[in-house]
Amino acid sequence: MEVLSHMFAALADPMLLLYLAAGVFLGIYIGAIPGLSVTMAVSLLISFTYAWDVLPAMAAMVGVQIGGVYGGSRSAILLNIPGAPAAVATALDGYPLAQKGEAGKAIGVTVIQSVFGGIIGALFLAIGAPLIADFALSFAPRDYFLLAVMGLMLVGSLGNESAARGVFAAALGLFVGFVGLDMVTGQQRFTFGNVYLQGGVNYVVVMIGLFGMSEALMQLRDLNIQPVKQDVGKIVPGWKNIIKYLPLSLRTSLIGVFVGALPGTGGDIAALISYDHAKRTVKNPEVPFGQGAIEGLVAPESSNNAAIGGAYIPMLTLGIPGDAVTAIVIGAMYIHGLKPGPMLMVESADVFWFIVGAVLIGNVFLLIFGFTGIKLFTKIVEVPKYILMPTIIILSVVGAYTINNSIMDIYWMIGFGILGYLMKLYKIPVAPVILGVILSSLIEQNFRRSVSMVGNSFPLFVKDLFTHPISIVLTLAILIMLFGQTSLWKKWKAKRQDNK
Amino acid sequence: MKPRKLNPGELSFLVFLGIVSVIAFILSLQMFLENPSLSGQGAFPLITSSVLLLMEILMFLEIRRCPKTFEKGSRIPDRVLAVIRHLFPDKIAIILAYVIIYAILLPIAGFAISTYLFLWGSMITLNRSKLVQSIFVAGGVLIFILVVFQFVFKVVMP
Repeated sequence: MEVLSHMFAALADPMLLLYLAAGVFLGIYIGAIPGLSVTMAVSLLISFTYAWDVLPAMAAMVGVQIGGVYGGSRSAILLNIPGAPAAVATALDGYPLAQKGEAGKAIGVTVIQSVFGGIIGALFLAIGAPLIADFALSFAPRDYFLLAVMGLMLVGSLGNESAARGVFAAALGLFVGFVGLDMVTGQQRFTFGNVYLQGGVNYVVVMIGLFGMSEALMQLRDLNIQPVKQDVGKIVPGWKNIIKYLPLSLRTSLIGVFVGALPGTGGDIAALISYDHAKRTVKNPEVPFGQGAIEGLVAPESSNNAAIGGAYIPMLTLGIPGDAVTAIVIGAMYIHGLKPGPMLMVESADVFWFIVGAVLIGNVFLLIFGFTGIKLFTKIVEVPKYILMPTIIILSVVGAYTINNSIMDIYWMIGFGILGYLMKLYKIPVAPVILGVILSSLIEQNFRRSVSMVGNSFPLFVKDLFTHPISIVLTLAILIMLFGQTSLWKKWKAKRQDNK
Repeated sequence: MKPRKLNPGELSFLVFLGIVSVIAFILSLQMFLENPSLSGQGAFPLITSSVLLLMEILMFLEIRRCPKTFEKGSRIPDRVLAVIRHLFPDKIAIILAYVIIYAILLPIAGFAISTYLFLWGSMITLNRSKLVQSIFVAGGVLIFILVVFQFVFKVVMP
């Protein structure tokens, strides 16, 4: 009973409810505006909420996170500019739907799926936190390395005309992530003696350039194309549609929870793994994937919001951040005198269960606010390009500057914008580049830890991949994915289709 | 990859990426040789740059079956012109130039002036018929951005 009273403390206190609701509402619109990010918003909230009590501060941050992860899908659908890395997969089918004039339908689906996934994530956080934390602890560094490799291979093969181009883009992103000081030795890598490069290249700058700026330049190629009028008559999906996709939603929400629970991974990897899962398991979608398949929205959106609940599991139970935002939330908790970790449930059980409750109630607010402003947002697509595209460029500049208040980030953003423009023009995918930058540190650190543990012996490292249960599963998954890209497999599959 | 006609400049772009991959490989190899250990700072960059090179080779193998972009015997200046036209149709080159000038002007003239000039310049370049309207629209967009970012979200502007 005491647990329930802590979980639903927000319901008993109108002010807490207000902070949570305001957080969700603001988060949606922050996530939806290209140039702003959830991570930035939560970082700013730390300074705003410094003098607040802990519960209102946590309510606001959780709300912004829930709203922001969903909000990123709006600009992904309407403008093909994901507002957050977790919305990269959403753009693959969301934007084609907007091009057909069905942005309202797409946004309606993403609201429902985000809420569904968010609630599943919250329930697992509430019920299974200790169990899932134990499972997450059994992941060795080599398993994190394998999981990150799998994530990159997935994104490299999604929606591309050539796996080689996708993997090249992913490797390019990894390389961009190496620029700066080596985390272990402190040695400069690929900085060419430039002091600005010592801090590395921020992934948000890369994302804004590759997605925001480059998309604006691409759109300017077709100034004469009239904006597509969006149908916003029926936004809320019917019950029949919700039930139709329920099995897929459930599976991808579970993927989201488990991937989100792995420290260092988050909604972005969860969304991509789920998108790939949907592609492999949904045999005959009404519309092919990549052309506006509803399943292509259901999978990533339920997954990336479920990953929020998942990310709080290691954060609250072990003091290890599940993703970038929970890393910031940990900082906020320390400021308020809390110690996330195994003792949090003992020493500050009220805060622990309040956060769990906030994740659950926040998704209810998402259901309410998620349907607001859709007509307004779809109007954005109808704004003439000669006004919209320069505005997007300015938002990209502001967004790049706000990260470190550095003019160099603006120049980097422009550089990546031009690179992204060329890549899109010549059919080399840009999504793998940003994932590569994000995962670069995770992959390399875990690879180095894994090989250090076996005395830098490559044969022993390979042997480890095939002798531990989790590693075997992940290694086999990667090998199967690799084999699936070979011409031998494709010929066999085509022959099988012909025989049918 | 299904064979398709390559876009003008596509082969050159792949060559450019190939050069970048080779440079990345050489730099990574130098770093690895300073500390030839799998857990050293050069090992993973070396592996990654090797993947870059391998994928580059695969990409070139894929396009060898693609029909040529330019006719045999076409002059190099004509090819260069075709590539430039493909990369920068209409007013993209001008807008790109505005972006670079804007970035240079930002620390000199400040956010408000630079942004207004960029917005108004871009709008009239993209739509000459809306000369007067663009003055007010650019001002409106600037005010909206300042209000939302500077006053609501308290973001420090460039």
